[in-house]
Amino acid sequence: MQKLKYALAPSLGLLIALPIFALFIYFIAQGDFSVANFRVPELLLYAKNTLFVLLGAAFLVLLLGISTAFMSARFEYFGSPFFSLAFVLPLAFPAYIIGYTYVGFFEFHGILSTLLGVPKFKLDILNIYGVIAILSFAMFPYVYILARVSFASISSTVVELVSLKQLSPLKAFWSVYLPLAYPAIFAGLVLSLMEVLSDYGTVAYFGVDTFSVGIFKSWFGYGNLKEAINLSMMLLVAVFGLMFGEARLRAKFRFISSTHSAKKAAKIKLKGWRNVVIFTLSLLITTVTLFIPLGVLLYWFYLDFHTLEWDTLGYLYRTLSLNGISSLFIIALAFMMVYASRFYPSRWGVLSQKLSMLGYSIPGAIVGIGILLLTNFIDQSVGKVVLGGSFVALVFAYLTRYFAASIGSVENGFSKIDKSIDDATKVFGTDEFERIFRVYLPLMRPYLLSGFLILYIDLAKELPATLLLRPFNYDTIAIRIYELASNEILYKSAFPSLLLVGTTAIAVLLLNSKFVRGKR
Amino acid sequence: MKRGISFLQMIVGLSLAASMAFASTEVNVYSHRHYDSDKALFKAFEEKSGIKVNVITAKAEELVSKLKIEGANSPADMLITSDIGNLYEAKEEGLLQKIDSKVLSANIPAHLRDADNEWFGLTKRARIFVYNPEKLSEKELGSYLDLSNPKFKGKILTRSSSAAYNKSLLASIIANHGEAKALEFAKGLVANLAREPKGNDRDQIKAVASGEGDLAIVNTYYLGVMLNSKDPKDVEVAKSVKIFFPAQKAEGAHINISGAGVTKYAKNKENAMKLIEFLSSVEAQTLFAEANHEYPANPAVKASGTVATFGAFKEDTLPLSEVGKYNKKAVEVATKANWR
Repeated sequence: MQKLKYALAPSLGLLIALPIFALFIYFIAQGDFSVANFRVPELLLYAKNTLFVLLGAAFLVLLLGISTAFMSARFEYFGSPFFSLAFVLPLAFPAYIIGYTYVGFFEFHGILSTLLGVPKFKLDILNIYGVIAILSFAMFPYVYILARVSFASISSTVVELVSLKQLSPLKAFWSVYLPLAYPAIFAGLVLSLMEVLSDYGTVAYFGVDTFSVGIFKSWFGYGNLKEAINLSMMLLVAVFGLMFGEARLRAKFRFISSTHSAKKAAKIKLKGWRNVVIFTLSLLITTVTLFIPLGVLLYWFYLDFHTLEWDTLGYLYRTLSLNGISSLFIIALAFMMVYASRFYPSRWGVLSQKLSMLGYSIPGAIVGIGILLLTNFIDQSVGKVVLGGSFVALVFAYLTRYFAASIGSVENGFSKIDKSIDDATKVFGTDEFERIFRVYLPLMRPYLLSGFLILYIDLAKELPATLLLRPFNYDTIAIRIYELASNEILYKSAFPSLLLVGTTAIAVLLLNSKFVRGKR
Repeated sequence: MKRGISFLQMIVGLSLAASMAFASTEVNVYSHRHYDSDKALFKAFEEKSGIKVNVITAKAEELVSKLKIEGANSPADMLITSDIGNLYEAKEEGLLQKIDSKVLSANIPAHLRDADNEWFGLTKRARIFVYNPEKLSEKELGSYLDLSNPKFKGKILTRSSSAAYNKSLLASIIANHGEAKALEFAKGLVANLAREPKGNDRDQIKAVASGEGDLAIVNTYYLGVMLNSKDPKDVEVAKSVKIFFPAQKAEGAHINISGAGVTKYAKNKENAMKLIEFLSSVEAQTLFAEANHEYPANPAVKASGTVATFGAFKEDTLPLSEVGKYNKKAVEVATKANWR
């Protein structure tokens, strides 16, 4: 029995990575590793563009994420409660929607040219810099959310030391505060960059040839799914390498900061010109990342107002119920995984946990193909269709694709539970299930909830796997947006987009609320 | 007690009957057409026939891959695509089956359906030029091949060659003029581009209106969407450009189709056939034409609505299976010509 428990974490990891293995087996079984349709220069171009987009997005995500997190965690200034919320909200937009709204804003005869009264004015953002900006706007809240918690938990002792040493504010930021937040910043950055890697919709529309465009060129252009899978596997190997690199780097920067004993440092109240500068900076960031996309959607909504389709609410209902159940299931597995690795650790557990995160970096459609291969194999072995076209297949795809997004928050929560609590509960000799339900689940509540909400937000935006795997007649709101956008009826996509953004915004607000954050 | 059993039997019997009836009164559709007009048509079919239409929409390439992986387990009875390339690919992969239907043979002209009756065109869209009348005159325009003429240097706009409609256009040029000419055309086109291919068809039309280029290759469908937009700026832009049907003195304007076929492992073959027949009927074709800015495939129905205002034109009547045949070749040619 005890031995079985040690097998729990590794087997969960393997289960989650199973669709990836299905792809891998397919990759090996076909015995054809060629990417013959691509010439070396083309592959190099994909690699170069991907790297450039990654570096650019990393820079901008860090710049936006760290500055907003620091301002929100350390300062009190005009409008700061509002901004600390507004900085999270861009997460509610699918990246390609931000892309469409910005094109609508800057294009010829676009909204900006109308506002300025200069009909000829336009700015072409359909290029690699545009992609970097759009993806960064959509992803920086990952860094913001995680780094803010770190900045906010800086103890008053640290602040006192800084003032004793008479460090300049800038020096203090670089040499003291920033390093303290490194682990959180890394974790947020990794999430953002993995999403950037898997993005297809935005890069394809903007005409930038990244690796994922190459993957779809094989599949859609040459009708060669094998080759698309080969390319995805190449990408996976690179990501796996990066993940190990990141883990080692992170280990180097691990600081032990006891958050129990020390009093948290109070926020600094800004006055005078400092107040003005920080307020202006916040307003600028919020305008670019939130007000403009939201404003464009509202304008389109206004154009469409008399022809609104109320059955859009049906799509919303399907989205809510599917996502609620899926998120609950995934967060429960994440809890089991981290719990098992804490109490029954093994080397295999560590490895399989890394494997379980791989799905986050490859395009959702490729994960979907992995699921199709897997479920079809099972169906064929059983001799009848049990999984194909079912909700189980779809939820499995979500699990593989988004497990990485949920586990961070759960790990973070467990790391805050002191080992002495483990010992204490063991001494009292209570039954394991009782320990879980009476000790760990209550202690973990805020972290599980925030993991659940992050999952919910990600799933609500998810398109490719849903497109490929959903049961008949089960169209979600993301599907509806895709239908309207690919018919190029952009203004009509505003209503479903706003509904999507609205519901994810509720999740974001909850994420931010005392109810979820508890007494962290 | 006795009553209880008979009640139970009744329930079992009823649900059995219901499930049997259910099995024979539905049709499962994989479709790349995600238009609201299609939803209305499916509803009309349901009311008329009592057959429930179940739909999954996704990109055609994905649906073809899905059919391939699912094999005999596939729940789909019918595949609908919005271009010829994928329909042809589905047939080549052995995913479709032959159907004998007098109705379809009568409703759909021969060049718009498969020689082996595995797929049938349902609607047409033409790949045409829109141009800026302040920069170009109609007299300067001719065939597709003319676009490689250096006089158009820096003037042409189009999206990526991997867009299904560009692929089919290039395939039709290979079929009509041979691979060497097609490569020459593609190279000349790339040399004449006003900018790197990007954005969707709407963005190409906007770029013509803004003067970034003078001429764009687009589908009639998207121009129709813009002309009927609720966004007044869209309408203004679409009205400021002019439409030109290419190759009128040669093969005619390139036509692409939306079409359908019955899948090889269809469990509801009869129902799928009925649905395709319905979609080819005068009733359904009229709705296609009016609501969705497409040209009906059934010659008994006239173009109407916005596309009717574009005027009559000569269309390329090359059998579409020829276009399908050269689709992969077209990608090769585009890659050779560096058409991204």
